[in-house]
Amino acid sequence: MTRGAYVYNLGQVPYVEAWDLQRSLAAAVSQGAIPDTVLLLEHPPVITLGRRADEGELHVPDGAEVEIVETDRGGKSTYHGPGQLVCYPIFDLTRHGQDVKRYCRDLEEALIRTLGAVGVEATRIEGLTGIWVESPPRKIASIGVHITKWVTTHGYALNVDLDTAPFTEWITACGLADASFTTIARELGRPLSVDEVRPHAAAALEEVFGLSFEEIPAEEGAGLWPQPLHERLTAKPTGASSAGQTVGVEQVTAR
Amino acid sequence: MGLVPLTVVANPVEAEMIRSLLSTEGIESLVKQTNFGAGIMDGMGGGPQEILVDPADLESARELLTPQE
Repeated sequence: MTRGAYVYNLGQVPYVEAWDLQRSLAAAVSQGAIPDTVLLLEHPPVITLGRRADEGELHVPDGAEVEIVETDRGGKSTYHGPGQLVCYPIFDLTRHGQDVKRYCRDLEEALIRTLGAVGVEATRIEGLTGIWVESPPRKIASIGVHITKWVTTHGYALNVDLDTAPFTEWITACGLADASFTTIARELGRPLSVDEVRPHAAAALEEVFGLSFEEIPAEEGAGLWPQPLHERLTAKPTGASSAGQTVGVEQVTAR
Repeated sequence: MGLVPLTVVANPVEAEMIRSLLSTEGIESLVKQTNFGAGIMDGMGGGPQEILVDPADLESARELLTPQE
């Protein structure tokens, strides 16, 4: 049985703006106002510091054009930039077995299936976070998740086609001093756009989490907050979702 | 009284997820790398993590983390 859910393809969004949106959507999902919702997007260059990040992990060269943001997600530091598919599932885990470990495994499984669909064989490595290509091990996707009252925020970042130098030259990404990083494009030996990977990512999430997505289109050029995002989300019937009744905009606005 | 083990999880990200969930329920916790994880892939941190809580919170923490079918 599948459950109705929303997927939102947002293009490039500044990190803090997407974070605000996640928190707002998490409040709506938590109240049952909207079904599980997935944000698929890219970020302009940004280094995010998880709650376990150490100061020594940062070694950004002078003049580098990159934003640095402290976040509430788990994990250490990581880098996001154009050419990386970022996926933020805002899921109410009470609808998915209420099991943290299972959610982690399922998110990893969705990544492995996404990569398989574009021709990259990837795997988990016991004890390490994220998804890897072997051998030697090369990290291709990072995972960092926060849970509040069983509702998830943050998610994964999949390296599609970008320069991986910032992972090692600007930070000690994920706290892994000797790790090497790779991209789908590098593994396939050809350029690849995030647009080509995004449908596979959505399909994998549908399969693994038993969801049926309804795509909510982003409004071109309006940015996230000027457009009536919440109004559109909350006004839509939840379809096959088990989510409850819709509520007004004012009830789901977190800030 | 010292802290008691609540659970062991596969890696630091999973540990932080559980800690964030516990925190929103008002349960403080600590995370400790297990001996099993030490030295896993030279130079790479990580490995299984043990989550510790106050004995007074153990039962409610266990209940919170029990998967629902």
